[in-house]
Amino acid sequence: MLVIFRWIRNQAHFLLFILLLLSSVTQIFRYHIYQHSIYFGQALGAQRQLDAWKSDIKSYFNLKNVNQQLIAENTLLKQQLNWNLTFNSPRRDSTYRDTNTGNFVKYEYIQARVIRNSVQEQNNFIILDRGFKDGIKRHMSVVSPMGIVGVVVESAEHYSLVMSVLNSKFEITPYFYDLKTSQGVISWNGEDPTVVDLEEVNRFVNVRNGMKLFTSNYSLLFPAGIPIGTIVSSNSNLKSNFHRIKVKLATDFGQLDVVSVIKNTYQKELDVLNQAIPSSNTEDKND
Amino acid sequence: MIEIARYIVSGLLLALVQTFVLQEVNIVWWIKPMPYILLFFNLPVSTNKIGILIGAFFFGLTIDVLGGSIGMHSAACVCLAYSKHHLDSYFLDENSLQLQGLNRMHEEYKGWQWFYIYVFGLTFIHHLFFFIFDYFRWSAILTIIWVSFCSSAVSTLLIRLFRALNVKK
Repeated sequence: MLVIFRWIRNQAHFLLFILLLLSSVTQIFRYHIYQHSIYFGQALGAQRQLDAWKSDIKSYFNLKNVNQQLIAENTLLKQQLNWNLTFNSPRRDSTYRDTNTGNFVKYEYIQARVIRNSVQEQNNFIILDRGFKDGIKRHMSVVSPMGIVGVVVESAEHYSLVMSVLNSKFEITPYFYDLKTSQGVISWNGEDPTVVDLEEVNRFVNVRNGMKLFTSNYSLLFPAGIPIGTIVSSNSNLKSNFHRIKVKLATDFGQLDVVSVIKNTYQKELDVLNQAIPSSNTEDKND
Repeated sequence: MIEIARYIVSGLLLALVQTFVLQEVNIVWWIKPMPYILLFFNLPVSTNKIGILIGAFFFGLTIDVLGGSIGMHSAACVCLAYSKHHLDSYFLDENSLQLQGLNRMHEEYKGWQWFYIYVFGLTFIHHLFFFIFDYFRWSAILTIIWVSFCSSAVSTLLIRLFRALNVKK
């Protein structure tokens, strides 16, 4: 306390100067309209700026919550997309019914977070923090906001294992949006995790760089229209009947965080039909 | 006591001259000479610094009340009193002043050129603060400096004139 008094006594001249100056300046702002308006205008501006900064800081710390809300909203919106709706579907309690069209949802989206991911191996797998308790089963497709990610191969109670696109066993037929055709097989050669190979595309198909590839409606796993990637290079020679195409993946596997697992609500029907295909047909084909 | 009364009377006279004569006369419309700060140069060096600060505030307030510019002159006078104390402690040697038989800043101390540079410097500080509060815009800072400079020059000339008159008296 004594130190404070001593300090005040030592600084008396300066403190008195500040006090008198403030008193004068206050009078200026009080009695002069011009100075008053400028001062309070600037004070208000500064206050608004401070409020804006405060709000920015607050919203920064709130980003996680906002992100979660956006993910939930995105999932709901995806379920409401027109291409996701089927006409005259049988009524099922578990499916979402669109209030505008009265149609039932064919695909349901389950959001999950990637907790393990690899891109360096020859056969890469991803682990998600959702399992069969959340409705995740084998053969469900996994997509990210950027594009396709993979297919669920195993599901535990709370976790599931996904075979990534960056897996030598993963294959998918793409849909050429510009050509309105589905052709070829996409697979990864184990080298660059951003590029996959597209093979078995007929040499006479007019393939150009920059063409966008999407999932085809022939796929039993993925809904149609999900981005796969963009063609970056294509070669063809007379010795072969097929193009050799490189596709840059739409999904950046190094940045994977939140993904959606797609559940086909009529998967059982598909499974039944698949089983009903006579085995002799396939044998004939192979022959 | 008589000395204090003398300063109060001369302060009042200077305030009256400032508000009823100089404030009404337009040399160039933007030049505002304020030679009333002559009072500060007449004060003895040994005057209590706190007393000067309070006196400066009320002296400025008197001019403000008379001239209707509440706060402007008092703020400028307080800044001048505070700056003067610090400048004096740097540039003035009280002992050598006393050796010359002086108790305040005077032309005889280091010559009239030095004295008027000192007067001009302090006048400029006073005018600068006055015009900062008067214009109150950062965008007008160059104008403020220019107006302060010109007004300080005229004020210094008037201070010179007043001092000459005082000496004759």
